[in-house]
Amino acid sequence: MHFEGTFTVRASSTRVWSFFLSPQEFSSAIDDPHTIEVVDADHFRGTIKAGVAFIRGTFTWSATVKERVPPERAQMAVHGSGMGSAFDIVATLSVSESAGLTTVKWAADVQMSGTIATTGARLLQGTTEKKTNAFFENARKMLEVA
Amino acid sequence: MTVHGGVGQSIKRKEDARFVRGKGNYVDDVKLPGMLYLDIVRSPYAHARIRSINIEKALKVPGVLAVIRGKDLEAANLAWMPTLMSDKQMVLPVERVMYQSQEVAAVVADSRYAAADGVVAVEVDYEPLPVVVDPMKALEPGAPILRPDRKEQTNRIWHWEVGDREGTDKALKESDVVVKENLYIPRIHVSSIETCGCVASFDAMGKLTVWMTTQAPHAIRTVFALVAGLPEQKIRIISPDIGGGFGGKVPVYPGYVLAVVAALKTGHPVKWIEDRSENIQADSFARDYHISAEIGATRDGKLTALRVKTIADHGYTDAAANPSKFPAGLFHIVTGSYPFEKAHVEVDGVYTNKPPGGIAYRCSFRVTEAAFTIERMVDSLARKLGMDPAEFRMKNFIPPEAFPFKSALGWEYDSGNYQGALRKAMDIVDYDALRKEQAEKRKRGELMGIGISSFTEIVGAGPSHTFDILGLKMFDSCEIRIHPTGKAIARFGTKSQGQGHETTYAQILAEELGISSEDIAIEEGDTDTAPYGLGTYASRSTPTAGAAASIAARKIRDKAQKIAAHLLEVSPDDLEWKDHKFQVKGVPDKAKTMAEIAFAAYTNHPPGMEAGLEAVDYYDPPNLTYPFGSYICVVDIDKETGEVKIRRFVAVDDCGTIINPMIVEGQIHGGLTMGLAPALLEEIHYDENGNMLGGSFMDYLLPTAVETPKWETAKTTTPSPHHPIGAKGVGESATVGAPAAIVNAVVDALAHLGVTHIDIPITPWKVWKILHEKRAA
Amino acid sequence: MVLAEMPSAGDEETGPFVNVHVTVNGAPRSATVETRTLLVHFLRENLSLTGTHIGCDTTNCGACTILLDGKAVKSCTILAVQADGRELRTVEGLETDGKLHPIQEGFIEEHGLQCGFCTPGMMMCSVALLQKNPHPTEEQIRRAISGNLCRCTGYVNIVKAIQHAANKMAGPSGGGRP
Repeated sequence: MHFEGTFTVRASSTRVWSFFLSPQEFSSAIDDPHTIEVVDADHFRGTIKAGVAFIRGTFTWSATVKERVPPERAQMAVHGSGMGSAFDIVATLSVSESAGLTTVKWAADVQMSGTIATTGARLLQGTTEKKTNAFFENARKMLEVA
Repeated sequence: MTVHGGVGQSIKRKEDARFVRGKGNYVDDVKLPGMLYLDIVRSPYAHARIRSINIEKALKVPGVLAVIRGKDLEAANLAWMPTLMSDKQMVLPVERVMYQSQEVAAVVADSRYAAADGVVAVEVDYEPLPVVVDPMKALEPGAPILRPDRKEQTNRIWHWEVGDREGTDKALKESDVVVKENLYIPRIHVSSIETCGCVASFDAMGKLTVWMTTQAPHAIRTVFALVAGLPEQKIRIISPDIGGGFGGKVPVYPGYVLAVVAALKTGHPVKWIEDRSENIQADSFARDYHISAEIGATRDGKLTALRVKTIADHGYTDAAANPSKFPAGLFHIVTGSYPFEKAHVEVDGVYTNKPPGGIAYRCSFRVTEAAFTIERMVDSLARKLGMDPAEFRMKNFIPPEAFPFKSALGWEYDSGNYQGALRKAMDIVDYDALRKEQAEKRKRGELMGIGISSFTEIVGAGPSHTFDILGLKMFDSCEIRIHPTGKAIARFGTKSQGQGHETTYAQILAEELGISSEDIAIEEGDTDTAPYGLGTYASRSTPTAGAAASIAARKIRDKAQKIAAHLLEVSPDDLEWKDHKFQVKGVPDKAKTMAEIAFAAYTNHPPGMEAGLEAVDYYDPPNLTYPFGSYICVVDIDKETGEVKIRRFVAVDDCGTIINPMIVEGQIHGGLTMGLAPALLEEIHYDENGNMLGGSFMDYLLPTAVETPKWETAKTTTPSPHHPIGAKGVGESATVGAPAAIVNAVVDALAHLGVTHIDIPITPWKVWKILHEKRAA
Repeated sequence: MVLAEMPSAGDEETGPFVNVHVTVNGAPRSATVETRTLLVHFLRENLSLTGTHIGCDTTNCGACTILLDGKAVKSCTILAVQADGRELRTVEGLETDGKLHPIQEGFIEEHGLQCGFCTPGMMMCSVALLQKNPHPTEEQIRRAISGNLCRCTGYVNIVKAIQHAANKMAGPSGGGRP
C-alpha cells in the first residue's frame, strides 16, 4: 500500500525536521498506546498496541533511520511483528521552507503480512490509511502550536 | 413382495435420528480423560528463512506443557512426509517456510485457551525471501527455485499430455471456424462447516487410536504406518461423524501428525481442531487452473477438434490426491459430451508459494475444470457461428447408439443420452418462450440471459489396471453378516460425510437380500472393523462400494439358496430368487425368506456346509461411470449494480439407477449451490507478497439461503451397463455442471455488447465495469 | 522438544475465574470458568452439551446458534459470564418427553440435513423465527436463516423443513411448547 500527502505548517524547516527525527517527539503523534526506546541515534524500538478488526494486540517494532539530510530529507524503515502478523513501513520525508512556512511532503509504503493481511480485502487499506493520515495530522497540529 | 426400503424408495434417513437431537459424534465432541490441546504457530510470510524459534516465553505460559519445532521432528525423521502424489511436504519446517499460514511450531497445553496463549508467546525470527505467486512467472528463467530438494532445478513439477498433438493441430488449421479463449478458474476453498481436526491417543499397550476428520481412514492408517514406522495393527483410525468433506478431508495435514507426536511425547491424548481461518488459509484448495482452449468446427456447425493447454498452480508441493498416473486428474474428460475426432490436452504443474492441494472441492479429480472448459468453449463457438447454443449441442452430441463410446483422449464412456437430457431441460424451462422473451427485453435494453451446460462427468475411480493412490489400488469393499434373527450388519471401506450411506447402502442390501432396510445396520469409518477401502470422494462410493454390496449380497444368496434347498428338501436348481425370497420354480407357495434361511444357517444348515451367513467383496470396477446432465440457467442482470440474479435454474441429471430419489435430489441441490458459489462469489486471491486476501468468512463468501435460488430438478435414467445395479454416482455432478450454465447465461445476457467470456467469480463489480465500458464506448 | 512443568493448581498466574449459573433446557447448570470463556465452549466442554457446533471464527456461520432468553444468538460471540443467571435453550432441549419438536420432524421428513453439522444452529434459528412469525413466507424464511451457512443441502429442503414445522405448529395438534 502506498500513501502520500503534503501539509504546510507555520514553523521553521529545522524545527520540523528535528521533530520527525526525535523519537520522543514523533512518537507523541502516534495515537495507539506504545512504548519507545532509543538504541542509538539511528535505531529505535518499542511496542505498539494496534490492530485491524479482530486482529488486535501488541506488536513489537524496530525502526532504522536510512537517510538523513538535515533539514531537507529523511527516510526511516520500520519493521513490526506480532499476533501472527508483520508489517514493514518505509517512510520518506521532504521538507522545504519558504517565507516562514514549511511544506512537508511525506510518503509511506506499507507492507502487511500474516493474519492481519488476510483481512485485507475489506479493512486493511482503510484502517492503514486512516492511521497514517492521523499521524501526520497530529504532527502538523503539534508543530503548529510549537 | 416389495421389500421395505428397497432401491428406488425415498425412505427417510436413519442417521437423522441422532443429528436432529444434537447427538452426532463429530471429532470435536470426543473427550478423553487427561486430554490435552494442540494449537499451531503459523507463518505470516509466504516465503522466509527461519532464523530462530524462541519458545522460552511460551513454555512459561500457564497451562502450556510442550512446544514442538521442526528440529524435534527432524530427529525422528518426521519433519518431511510424502504427499498423496509422492511429492513431499513439511510437517514442520526446519529451514524455510513456503506459504503464508504454514505450520511452524505446535504448542500443547491443558486447555484450548492456554494453547492459544502459548501460540502467541512463541517468537519466530524470519528472514523474508522473494515470493513466487504467479505460476507464469514461476516458469520464467531466473525465477527463484522453490524446491531445491528436487532433482531438476525448476518450478515445473511435471508436464503431462494426452491425445494426438499433430492431428489436432492439423484439424484446427483446417477448420472453417476456430474459437480461442483463456479461462482462469481461480483458487477456491471448500470450507465444509466442520473444520479439520483429530484426537490422538496411545493406550497402555502402545496402540494408537486417532479420531480424525478423514474421508479415507484405511489409506491414512497405511500412510501413518509407513511414514511413522508404527506397526499397522497397532494403529486404529476412527472417522466418526464428519461435518462435510467434499475432498477437503482427504489430505494428511501437518496438524494430524503433530497431534500424534504430541500424544506420544506427553503420554496423554491430544486434540487438535483448527479454526476456520486456519482451515481456509492452510488446508487444501481447489482449482487454480490457467486454461487456454481452442475449439474448431466446420462452417455448418460440426465440431472438429479441441486443444487445451493448462498451467496448474499447485502451491509449494504436489499434494493433490489424484490417482498416481494422472497428475492432472481426469481432466481429459474435457471432450465432454461431444465426439471430437481429434483432441490434445497438455497440463504443466507449477510450484508457487501457496498452500498445496488442488482438488478439494467436490470436483472428482479436475472434472469440474474440464466440464467448465468444454461447455464454455462450445457456447463461444456456437455464438461465433451464429447458431443457437441448444441447437448446436443437439447437432453435435454423441448419439445414444454410439455407446460404449471411446473418446479421442482414451476414455470409454459407459452409457449416455445427452439429447434426452437437454430436450427435457428445454421443455421444463420452455426454452423457446425464453428466447422470445429475451429478444423483446433486449429491444428495451433489459439484460436477460439463458445459459446451458450439458456436461458429462467421470467418476467411480477406478479399475486396478489404471488407478492407484500411492500404490493402493482403488477397489472398494463391503462385508455383510446376517444374524440368526434375520437382521444384518454390513461394513464398508468408504466413509460418508453426509451422503447418507447408512440409509442408501441398506437399501441396496434390502433389495438384494429381501431384508427390510430397517433391519440392516451399516457401519463405516473404523479401520479396526471395516474392510479395507479407499474412502469416499470423487463420487466413487456407489460405483465401487455400492457394487461391492451387491456382489457380496449375491454371494450370500448363493449360499442361502443351498440352505433354502436343504430346508425345502429340493435341489438348489429347483429354486429361483423371486419377490425377494427363494421359491420353488412353479410352486410359489413353497418358499423361504432370508430371515428363515438366516436362522437355519446357525441351527439347521446342510451337513458339510459351514455355519453362518456372511460374505465380503472387494470390488474392482471394470470401468469408471459417466453420469451426465443438462442444466439451463436463466439470469436477469441489474444494469445499475451489475448484480446477477438467477431467476430459474433447471437441472436434469442422469446418474443411472437411483437408490433413494430424496437423497439424490438433496445431493443435487447441494452440488448446484457449490457450483453457484465459485461462479458468483468465491475466490482466494494472493497479493504479490503472497498474502492471502480474505482468509476468513468475513471476506470469503459462501452462499446463504438468500443468494441460493430455488433449484428445480428432474431426471432421466440411463443405467450403467457395467455396474451391478446400473448406478453411476451423483455426488459431484451438479458442482461439475453448474458453473458453466451460470457463466454461459451471463455471457449470453451481455453477448450483444461483444462479451465472449468473463472469468469467475462474476461479481457485480466485474459486470458493472463491463457495462460501464461498453456504454462509454 | 522441550517439556514444561505442569503448573500447580491455584497458580495465581492463571486468569481470573468466575462461577457461571445458567438454566439450560429447563435445568439449572453451573461451572467455574475463566472470564474469557466463550458461551459455546462453556456449553460444549463444561456442560458437555456438544450438540451446539463451532464452524467459524468470525461470527458468520451460525452453527453455534442457541436461544438466550428466547432470542436466537450466536454463542461463539457471547461470553459465558454474559449468560449468567439467564435461560438457555440448545438443540438438546428441543425434544420433550421423547417426542421430537416439529422442527426436528420437519428436518427429517423433508431431508433438511445431510452431514448434520449446521443443523442444530439452523433449527434453533428456525424455532426463534417461528416464535416471532408463525406463518413466514419463503422469502422471510430465507432471510431469517441467512446467518446460518450450510454447505451440503443448498437450502431448498431446509426451507421445506421449516415450512413443514410451521404448518405442524399452526395446526390443531400444534399446540404445546413452541
